[in-house]
Amino acid sequence: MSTAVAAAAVLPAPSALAVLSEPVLVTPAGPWDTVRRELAEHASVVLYARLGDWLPESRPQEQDSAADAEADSALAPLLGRDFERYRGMTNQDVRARFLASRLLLKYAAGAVLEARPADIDLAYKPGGRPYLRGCDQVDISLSHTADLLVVGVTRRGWIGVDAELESRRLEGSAVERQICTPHETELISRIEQRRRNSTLVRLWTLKEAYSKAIGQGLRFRFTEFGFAPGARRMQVLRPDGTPGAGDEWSFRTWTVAGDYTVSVALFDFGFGDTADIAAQTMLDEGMVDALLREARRAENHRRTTG
Amino acid sequence: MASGTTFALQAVPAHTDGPASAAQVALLASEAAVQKRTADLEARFGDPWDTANPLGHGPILAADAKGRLQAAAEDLLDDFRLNAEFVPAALGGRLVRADTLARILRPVFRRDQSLGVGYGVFSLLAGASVWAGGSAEQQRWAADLLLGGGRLAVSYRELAHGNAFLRDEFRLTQGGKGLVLNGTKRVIINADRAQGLVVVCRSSDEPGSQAHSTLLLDRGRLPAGRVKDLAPYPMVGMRGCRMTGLAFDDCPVPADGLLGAVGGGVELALKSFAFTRSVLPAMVLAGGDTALRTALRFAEQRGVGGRPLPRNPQARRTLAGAFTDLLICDSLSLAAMRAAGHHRGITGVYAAATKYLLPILLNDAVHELSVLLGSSIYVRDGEFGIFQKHVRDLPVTSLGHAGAAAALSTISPQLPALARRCWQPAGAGDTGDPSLFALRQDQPALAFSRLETSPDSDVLCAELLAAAGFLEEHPDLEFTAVLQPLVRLLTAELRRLRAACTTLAPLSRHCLANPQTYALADRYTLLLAAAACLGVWRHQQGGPDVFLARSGWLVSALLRICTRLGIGPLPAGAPAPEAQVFAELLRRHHQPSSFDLYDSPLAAAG
Repeated sequence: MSTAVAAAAVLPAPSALAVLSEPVLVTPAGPWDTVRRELAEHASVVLYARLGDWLPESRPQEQDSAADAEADSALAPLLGRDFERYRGMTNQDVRARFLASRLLLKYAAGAVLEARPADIDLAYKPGGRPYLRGCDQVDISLSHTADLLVVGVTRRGWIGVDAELESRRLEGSAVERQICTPHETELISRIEQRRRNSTLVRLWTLKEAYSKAIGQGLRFRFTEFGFAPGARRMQVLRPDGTPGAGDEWSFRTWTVAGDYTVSVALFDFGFGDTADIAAQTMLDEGMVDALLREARRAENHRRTTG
Repeated sequence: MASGTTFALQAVPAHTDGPASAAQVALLASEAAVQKRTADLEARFGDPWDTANPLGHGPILAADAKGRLQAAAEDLLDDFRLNAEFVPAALGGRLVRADTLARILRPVFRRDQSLGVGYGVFSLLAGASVWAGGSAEQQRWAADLLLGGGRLAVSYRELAHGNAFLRDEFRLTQGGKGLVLNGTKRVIINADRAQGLVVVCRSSDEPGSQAHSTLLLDRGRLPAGRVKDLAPYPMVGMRGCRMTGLAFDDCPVPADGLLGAVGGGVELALKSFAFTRSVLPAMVLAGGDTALRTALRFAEQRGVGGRPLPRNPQARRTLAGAFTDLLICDSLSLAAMRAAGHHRGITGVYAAATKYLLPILLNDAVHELSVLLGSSIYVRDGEFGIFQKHVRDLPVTSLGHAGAAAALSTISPQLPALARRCWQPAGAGDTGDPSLFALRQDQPALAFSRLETSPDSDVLCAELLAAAGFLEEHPDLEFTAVLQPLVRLLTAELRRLRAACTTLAPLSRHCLANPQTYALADRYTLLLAAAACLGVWRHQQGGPDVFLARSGWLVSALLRICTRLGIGPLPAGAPAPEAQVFAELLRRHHQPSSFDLYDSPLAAAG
């Protein structure tokens, strides 16, 4: 094998997200093969879903509590440690969205790791960022707004996704001042009026996606970093418009399901590709076999001497 | 080594005063000697914040931008004879114990992780295989090479989910005239400037644990044209490290180039990992010290979100939290490194837990701190520019997923047996081992050949249970009302873990290879970290480390660990413990002294 070929095989593609495909619509039935293929080919994939597709069939009010208990007994193993939190939720909307988004995350993680959704331990960092406990070969991010759920999955580093209704009114709102850096305010003032609000929504989702990728959510103040709306290649800028983060970051925005703006932020560790992310192949064969052999030897020894 | 064969490693001039006597060995690792060497190294580097210091943050960042190490820093380490720290005292070096070695390297890692890794820590990682499995002649050669200022490089083998550091594999085959090495590996630190190469290669097509062998090669004796250096590999972090690769093309290998037996590669790796996996993260956590110090410095000077630090409880909480995370990291690595010295069977598991958990805690901590710096996290020069360098360097030193997967490969297979035999009050067998937590106490010299990978007891889980009992018996201690429920949550988690792990089908890789197992292994490492913190706290009672003997940091640490475990409900009432941690952090910042268990003095501008 020539060196050039070997190098090309491991070097991170500079614009990994430039070729990232459109977000994939998923229901519990899939298409999970497409999701796996996208992830294999592009290293990252963005999924979106309709809230209704991910809720157990709604039951009429008069149904008895026995049916509730039955539904709960099916959900408990699937939600794992989130089940208690789910059961304690009183607001029906919040509850439904919580359930649907957790199911979506677990199905998506199960699909890409080639494991059962119930075997996935969905955990949270101290700041609230969700992750797959013990399976850091993929990073995940979740966003939901109105009827839409969005999940980002990457095998390259860190990912953040965010979705907002395109029609959300930001221009002239109190929020606007909290979103923009001086540089962004200046750039936005130069674009035509009718495009200003959609530009703000786009900025907002980019900022959310970025701060989710670094695990900080809204704690990282949006006036501390920015983007250049309309730039051909999105990159993080400092408040005065000078370059901030480097090429290890890439960004992309789409319009999804007609009404939503969805942005993704991706940080590439630069370790190159690990195309195989299945849970089954994660353990090292040699190491595990050596330890299991040792364990068997110790067990036999204990039996014969004990 | 068979008599009559010529040893293939060319003699290197010896730079040694000969092996140390038992008394000299004890002296080398005594608390006084370690403090002296650490202080010496710290003083030679000087105050990194001093803008006139040629070895300060400014010049470090300038060298990083060029993708180089500072020549002056490498000269300093040559002059300090840092390599001697990597060579066992029995072979004429100064290496006696893992925990003292990590402490001595912290002044280097606090300043520049690339320098620590790029100058020589990989000589240490490579050396561990030689000290653990080499013949007397091989050990002598490698020791003389390092003591003479030379370097060793190491190329580990491919792992199931490898990355560019680990993916490619070398192959060793029997040719007509002897052993022949083939293959390419893209990333080997210092490959192009190391005279000694420790190479793990596949030597059989059979599956299982005996398909790999380890070689110790003298670069100077390999035929020209059969080994080729590859171009440097570009990285986001650790830019100063020389990360080049090697290509072997039908390269003849002397029969006595084997390190240990044919097929013994995995076993030797597991043995050396029982040392390297705890000692390297224990050095790397010093990078977190600088990240925290930079964030604190920033917050003190400029406030956070327009509010000065004294009136900003959110910022103080973040800073105290990061300090707590460093103490958690140091507690776990301390227990793992001292377990190695006591030849505990579970050393390999604790080292793997350290290797797994520390990068996670350190990365999360620096990202939480980034909120305080705001747009200054993008600054690559000036007073706060060093922050982003540590943020970039940290993930690289941990090897990302490949590092985590390898660590989980060590922990997961042992969970069923540990659960059945060790994780219950009656079966624990002992009440912990105070010597694991005695941070300044002497300990027997580490014998690499006796590094253990087969657990017989779990002293950290025993400590967790013992500490729970201790707290019930001492209700008058500081913050007991918060500590007791926290420890009950943790012991309940251990019971749940035990129930889950006993049902895992033992002794089968395919049954273990499941996200559920990996999640259990992750939870287990968090419980080990909690146990290590409890051990450090409990066995410092009445000792000289007053802050560690107080309960503030412990409450803070256990709260953070429980949050990560997702267990609760968490007891309220943490403001007072948190204030204690923050006060200590400020004291050490102004002193200045290190943000780890040791509170070591740092160089200040004179």
